[in-house]
Amino acid sequence: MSNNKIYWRGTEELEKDAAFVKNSQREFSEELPIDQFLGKKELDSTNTSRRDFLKFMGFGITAATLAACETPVVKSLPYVVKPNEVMPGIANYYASTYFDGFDYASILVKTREGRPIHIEGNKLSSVTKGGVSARVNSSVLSLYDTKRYQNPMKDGAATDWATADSEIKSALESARMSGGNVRILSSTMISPSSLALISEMKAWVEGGEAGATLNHVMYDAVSASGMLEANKRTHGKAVIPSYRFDMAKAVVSINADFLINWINPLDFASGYGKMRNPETGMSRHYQFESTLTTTGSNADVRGAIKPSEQGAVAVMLYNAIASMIGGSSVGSASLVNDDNNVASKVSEAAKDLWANKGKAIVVCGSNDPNVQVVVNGINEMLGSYGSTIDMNKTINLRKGSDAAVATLIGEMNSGSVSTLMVMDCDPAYTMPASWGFADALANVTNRVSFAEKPDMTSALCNYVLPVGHYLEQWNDANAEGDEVTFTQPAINKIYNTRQWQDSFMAWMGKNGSYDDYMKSRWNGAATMAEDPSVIFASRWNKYIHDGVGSIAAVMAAAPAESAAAPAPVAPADQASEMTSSPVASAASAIAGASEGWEVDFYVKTGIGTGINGDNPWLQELPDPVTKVVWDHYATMNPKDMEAEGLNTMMGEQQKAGMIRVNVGDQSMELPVVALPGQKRGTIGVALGYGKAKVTEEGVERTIGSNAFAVLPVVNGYVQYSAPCTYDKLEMRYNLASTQSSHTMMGRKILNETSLDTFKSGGKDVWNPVITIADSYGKQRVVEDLDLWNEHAIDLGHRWGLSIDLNTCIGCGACVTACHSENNVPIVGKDEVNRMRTMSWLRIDRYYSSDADPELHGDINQAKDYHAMEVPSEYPEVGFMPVMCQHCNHAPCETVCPVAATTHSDEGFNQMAYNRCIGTRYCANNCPYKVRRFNWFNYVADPKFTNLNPAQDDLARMVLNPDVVVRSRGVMEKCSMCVQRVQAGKLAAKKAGEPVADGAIQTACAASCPTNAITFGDINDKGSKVRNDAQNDRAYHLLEEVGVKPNVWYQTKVRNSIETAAEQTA
Amino acid sequence: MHKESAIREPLILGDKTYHQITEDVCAPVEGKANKYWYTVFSIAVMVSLWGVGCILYTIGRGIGVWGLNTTVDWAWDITNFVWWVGIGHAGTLISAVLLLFRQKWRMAINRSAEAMTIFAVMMAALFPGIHMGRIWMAYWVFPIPNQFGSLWVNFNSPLLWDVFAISTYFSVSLVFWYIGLIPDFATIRDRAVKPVSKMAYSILSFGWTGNAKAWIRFEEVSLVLAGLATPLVFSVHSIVSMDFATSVIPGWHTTIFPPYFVAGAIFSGFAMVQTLLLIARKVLSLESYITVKHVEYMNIVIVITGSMVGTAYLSELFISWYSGVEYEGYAFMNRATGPYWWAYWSMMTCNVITPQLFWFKGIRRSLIASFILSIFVNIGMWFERFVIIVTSLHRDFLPSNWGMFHPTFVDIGIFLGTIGIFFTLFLLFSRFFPVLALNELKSILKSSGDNYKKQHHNE
Repeated sequence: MSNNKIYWRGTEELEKDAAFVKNSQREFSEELPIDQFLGKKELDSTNTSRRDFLKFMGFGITAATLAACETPVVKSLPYVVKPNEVMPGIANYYASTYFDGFDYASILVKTREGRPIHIEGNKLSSVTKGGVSARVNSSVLSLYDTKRYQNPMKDGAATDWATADSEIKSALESARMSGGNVRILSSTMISPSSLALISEMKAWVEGGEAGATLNHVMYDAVSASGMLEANKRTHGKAVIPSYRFDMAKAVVSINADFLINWINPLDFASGYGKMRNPETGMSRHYQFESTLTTTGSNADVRGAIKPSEQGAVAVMLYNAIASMIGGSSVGSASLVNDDNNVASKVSEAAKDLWANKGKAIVVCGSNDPNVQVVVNGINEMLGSYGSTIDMNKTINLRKGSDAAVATLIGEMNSGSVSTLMVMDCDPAYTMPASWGFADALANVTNRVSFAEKPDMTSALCNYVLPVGHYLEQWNDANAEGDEVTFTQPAINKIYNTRQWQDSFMAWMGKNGSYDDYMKSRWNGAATMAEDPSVIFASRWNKYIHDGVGSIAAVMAAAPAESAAAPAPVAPADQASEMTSSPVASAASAIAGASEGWEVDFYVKTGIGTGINGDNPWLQELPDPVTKVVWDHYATMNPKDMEAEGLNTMMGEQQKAGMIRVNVGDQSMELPVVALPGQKRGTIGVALGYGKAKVTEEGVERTIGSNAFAVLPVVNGYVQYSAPCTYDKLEMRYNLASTQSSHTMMGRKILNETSLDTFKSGGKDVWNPVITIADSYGKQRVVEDLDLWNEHAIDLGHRWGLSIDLNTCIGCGACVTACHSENNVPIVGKDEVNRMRTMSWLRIDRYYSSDADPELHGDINQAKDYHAMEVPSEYPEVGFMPVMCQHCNHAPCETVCPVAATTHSDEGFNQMAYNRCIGTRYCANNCPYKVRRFNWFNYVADPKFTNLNPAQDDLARMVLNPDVVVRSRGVMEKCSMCVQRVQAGKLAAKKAGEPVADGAIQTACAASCPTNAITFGDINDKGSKVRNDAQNDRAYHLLEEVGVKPNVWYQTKVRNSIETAAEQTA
Repeated sequence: MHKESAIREPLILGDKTYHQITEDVCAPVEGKANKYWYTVFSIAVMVSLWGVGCILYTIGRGIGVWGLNTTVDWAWDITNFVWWVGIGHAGTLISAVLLLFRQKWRMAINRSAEAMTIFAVMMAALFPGIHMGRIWMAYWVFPIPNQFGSLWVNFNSPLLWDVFAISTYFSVSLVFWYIGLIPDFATIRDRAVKPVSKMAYSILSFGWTGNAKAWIRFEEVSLVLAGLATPLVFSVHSIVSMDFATSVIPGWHTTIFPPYFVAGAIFSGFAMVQTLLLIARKVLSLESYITVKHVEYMNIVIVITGSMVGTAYLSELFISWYSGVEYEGYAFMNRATGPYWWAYWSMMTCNVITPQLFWFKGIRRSLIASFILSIFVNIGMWFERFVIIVTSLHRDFLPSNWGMFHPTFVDIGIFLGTIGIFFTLFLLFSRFFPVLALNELKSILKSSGDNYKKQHHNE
C-alpha cells in the first residue's frame, strides 16, 4: 500500500516560504560562521569550493598513499657545507698503512662520501709493492664493528676522558715521585714517532725524583726472538735482515710459511712471484715442513718432516753443502721415519743451493736460536749475505724478545710494577699459559689497556682507553730498510676513542695532538736532510699523499730512540764475522728428533694471530689448503686418520671426528680434518682461535681452542711445536668446507708441466690445442667449431682476464677483495656446509693422486675413478682461482627464459638482477659452477643477522654504493668489476684519451701480491692481457666444451725434482 | 551392428544393461561416501595442507629452505615436475591415441586416466612456479607485451618451450576431458533429484540434449581433439627432455632424451593409472567394467614401454663409453658406482627388471602383482628423474665443485604435499564426476559386453 503522507520540515515548507524554498537546496540552510573559526580574510577571496576541497584532498591522499608504497624512508642527510674533496658518487683514495703487530702493508683506502669501503695495496711502497693480504683488506670491516670499545672504561664501567686522564696522570705522577716502576707492553712497534714519544715518556717518568723507571717491552704473538738471538750470535746484531726473494734462484724453507705468514710475507711473495716465470728463469723452491702450508703447497719439492726434525734438516743441509766445499761437518742429524724421501730431497736441495751460490736463500721458521744459527751458517756458505740477504737493511716487524717478557712477568709477580700499559697486543690471550701473565697482572695496581675492542687482557685491566681503529688514526711506520709509510685517518672517529699517543701527550702535558707531534718531528728531520728550499708543507703533503717517505732523516733527528730501534750499522765485512764455531756449537745443542706424536702449531691464512678473529670476511675465507671455513680444527694425514677410524671425508654435512690433543698438562678438543701432506705422526693446530671475551653475560669464547696457551717454552723461547698425545673422542662435529673433492680425476683442469718438459717439449707437448672430430671424422680445433654466430668480438673493448697459475700462491687476498668490492654476502658455516658459499671468486685447490693415469703415462688404461678420488699421502698441490669466465658462447645465456643474463658488447657476460626470476637453470648449465644464487634474503633474514654486515646499521657503511645489494631469489656472479670498468672508461673519456692498459683493475687483480691476475682489453694490441692470452702457456679452462671464455689461464710449470735428476744425469 | 569375435575377452562383465551401466557409474555420485572414502580423503587433505604450508614457507623465506646448493641447483623440485608430467601422459595417450587406433578397452579407463592427467599436470605445473627464486615475477616467462622497455622472453631457452608445451598440453587435455564429460554430466543431471546438484550438473553439462546432431558433433570434436592431442603426447615430454638435452652438462647433453623421455612418460603414466584404477575398481565396485583384461592390456603397455626405457638406459651407457668423452664416461660410471649408486640401482631394478615379470601371463593378470609392480614403476620413474638431474649435476666438469644433495623437510613436505593434493582432487573427482565414460561404454556393450557376447555365441 502506497503511502501518500507528506512530512514537512516545518511550517515554512508547508507555506512555501520564499526564503525557505531558496535555501532548501543548500546543505546548510543558514550561513555557517566559517569566518569565526577560520577567521582569515584570504579565505573569503578564494573561490575554492567544497567540491574542489574534496578533489584536492582526494588527490592528496591518493598521492600520499602511492608515495608511501614506493620508497622506504632512507636516512641520508645532505651536506650543509660540502667539503671540497668529497664529491658524492666519486671515490677518494687515501694512502695509509696497516700494521697490527703481525701484518704490515702500505695501503690505499677507498672512501665514498667519507666512509672507507675498500682497501688496496699502495704500489708506491717498495716493501709491499701494492700487494695486500686477506687479513689486511678485510680490516676495513672491523672499522664498523659495534663491539669495539665506544668509551673509555674504568673497572668495567664507562667513564670520560677527563676522569681517566686525571686518575692515570696522578698514578704516573705518584710513580715518578715515589720511584714506581712503569712498564709498557706492546707488540713490535715500528713507528719512529711513537717510539720517540715513548722515549719522551720514559725521560719524563724517570726524570722524577726517586729513581722511577719506565721500560718498554715488545713481544710478538708469533715470536721471532730465536732468530734475533741467532743473528746476534752470528752477526752481532739482534735484527732480522731483509730477504731478496726476487733474486733467489734456489729457495729452501724449513717450516717458514714465508708467502703468507712469516715476517714480511707481502714483500717475500712479490719477490718470489717474480722468480716464477718459466720463460725468464724460474727458481726452485724446496719446503720442509710438517703441516701442509700455503707456502709448502707452492713448493716445487716438498719434504714432510716432523717439527722436531727441523734442526736435523738444517744440519743435514749444512753438512751436505759443507762436504761439497770441503768444509767440516757439524753435529749429527738423523730423521726418525723418513717416509717422504726427505734425506734425498735435502741432498738435492744442497746441490741446487750450491749451484746457485749467491742467488740462494735458506729460511727457517723455527724459534730455536740454535737451528737459526745453523741456517745462518748455510746462508753464509752460500754467500747469501750481501746478495740475497741484507743484514744492513733490516726488517723491523719482529722485535719482540721472549726473554724480556719473562723478565717483565717476573717483575710483575714480585709486585714491583706499579703501572702496566698494554697496547697493540693481547698478552693474556697470545702468551703461553705457562708464563702466567694473567696471574702476574693481578699484582699490578694500575692496569691500563689501550685496546680497540674487548679482549682477554682488557678484561683484566682497570682502565681501558680505547684507541679506535687504525683508519681513524695517525701514525708512521718503518717496516723495512729506509722506507717510512704513513697512517692517516680516513674517517672521523666513530666512537669516543683516542689513540694512545694522544693520551701520552695529554699526560705529559704536551700541546697539540699526535699528528702535530709527528709533523714537527718530520719537519725537524726534513730540514736537516733534504733540500731546505722546498717548503716543508708541500713535502709533508707529498708524504701523506703518497703514504711513503724515507727514514734516514727522521732517524737522524731522533737519537733518543736508538735504544729501541736498531740503528743502521756500518756495513762491515759480514762474512768475516761468521765463524763455524757458533754453528758447530749450535748444531750440537739442537735436540734430536723425537719418536712420538707431535703437534705443529701454525698461523692460519685467514685468522693470523686472531686479532681479527671476529671478522666475518676472514672467517668465511676458506683456508687455502683445507678449504675449511669458520672453524678451528686439527689436521692429520688421512692415512693416520684411517688407522684411527676417523672420518676423512670433509664438508657437506659429513661430520668430522674429534680428538683431544694433550700437550703437557693442557689439552684441546678439536675436530679433525684430513690433510694430505701432513707428516705422518704429526697433528697440525692453528693459532689464533679460542679467544675468550668477557661480556656482561659472562665469558664468551670464540670458535675453537686457544693454541697460544699450550705453546711450550724451551730454554726461554716459545716453541711452535710440542710432543703430544691424543685421544679419539666419541663426539662428532660439523665442519664446513667449500671443497669436498680434492683431485682433478685425470682431467686437464689445472694444466701443469715440469720445467724440463716446458723447456724441451713444445707447446704441443705441454699445452696442446684441443681438437675434436667433426661429423666427417676430421680433427678440428674446438675454438673453430661453432653452433652459434660469433659475437662481434673485435670491435671496441673486449675485457678479459689472464691468470698465471705459476704465480698464484693461493693466498685468498683476491677472494676477500672481491667480497669487499662487490658486497658479496657472508652466509655462515651452516650455509657453507650446505655448499652455498656466495664467493664470486673461489680458489680451487687440487691434490695429486697416486692413481692418476696422467702420472703413470698410460691414459688409456681403464680408469679407476674411485682410486683417483683419493689424494696421495704426500701430494703435490695446485691452486686455481675460478670466477665467471665470461664466455663468448655462454651456456647460461641461452637457457635463461627471461634473458636476464646476456652478453655485453665488451665481452662481459652480464647479469640483470632486476630481470632474474631465479630458475637457476643458468647455474646448472654453467660448466664452471661460478653462479651464485641468493637462497635467502641475506640482508634481512634472521638466520644471517649476526653474520651479514649488511644487516647492521653501522656495518652496512662498508657496502660499496656502486654495486647493488642483491635481493632474494636472484642469481649473481662475477661481473669482472663492471663498475670499475665503467668508472675507468668515464675517466678516460673525460681526459679525451683511450683507456690506458692497466688503468682499470678488477678488485682481484689489484689485490694480488704476486700480480698473478691481469685484467685488460684483449682488443688493445699493446695490452698485457692480450700478450698473455697469446702466450704459449695460455689455455682456456674446459676449452673442449667450446664456450670460448674471456678468461685465460697460464699453464703451471713446476720446477720439480725429476727435472733436477735428469739435468744432473 | 559390429560384432566381435567370441574368443576376444569381453570388456564388460556380468549381465549389464544400458540402465545398469548408468546405475553403476552414477552410484558413487548419487550415493553417500563410505567411511573408507572419508578416511582416505582426510589423510589426503591433511597431507595437502602440510604441503601447502611447506610451499608457503618456501615462498615466504626463500629457496634456501630446500636442500639445493650451488652445484645442484635443481633436485626434488624438477624431479617432481618431470615425474608428474610423465604421469600426466597416460590419460591423453589412452583417450587420444587409443581413440584414433579404435581401441575399445580404453573406454573403461579413459575418464579417470584423463582426470589423473589433469591433476598430475596441475601438480607438475606447480613446480616450475615454486622453484623460482621470485615466483611473484613468474608471469615474465609469458611473452606478454610489457612496459619494461623492449624486454621479451628468450625463445632460445628450453624453459620457455616448457611453458608453451605444458600450457598447451594442459589446455587441450582439459578441453578434451571436459568435452567427454558433457554427455555424462547430462545423464547425472537428468537423474538428479536435489535442486543444488541438478543446478550444478545442468551448468556443467552445457545444456546437452543428447540428440543425434549433438552426438555427431561430439564424435567429430572428439576426433579433432584426439588428432590435436596425439602430437602433444609426444611433444610435451620431448620438450621437457630438452631442458636437459640442450644443456652442456654430461649426463644431460644426450640426443636420445626425447624418445626416451616419451617412452618413460607413458611407462610411468600407465603405472599410475594402474595404481589408481586397481584401487578405484574395488572401492567403487567397478569390477565389471575395469576387468582383468583391462589390467592385462595396461600391463602389456607397461612391459613394452619399460623395455624401451631399459633399452635407452643401456644405449646411454654404451654411448657414454663409445663416445670417448671423458666427462660423459665419468658421468655414467658415477651414476652406477658413485655416491648415488643406490638411486641408480633402484631405478634399474624398478624400471627395467621388475616390469619384465609381466611377460608371464599369470603375473600380468594378477591384480595383486600388478598393483605391487605398478608401485615399483612409480618409484623407479621418480628415481630415474632424480638420477638424471641430481647425479649429473652433483659431479660435472670441475671436481672442485662436486657435492651432494641433501633434501630438507621442506623438500619432502612439498613432494608429499603434491601427492596429497593429487589424491584429494582424485577423490573429489570420484565422488562428483562420472568415473567411467558411461555413455561411451554403452556403445560397446552390445559388441563387447559379456552377456551380449554369450548371446551372440549362442545364436
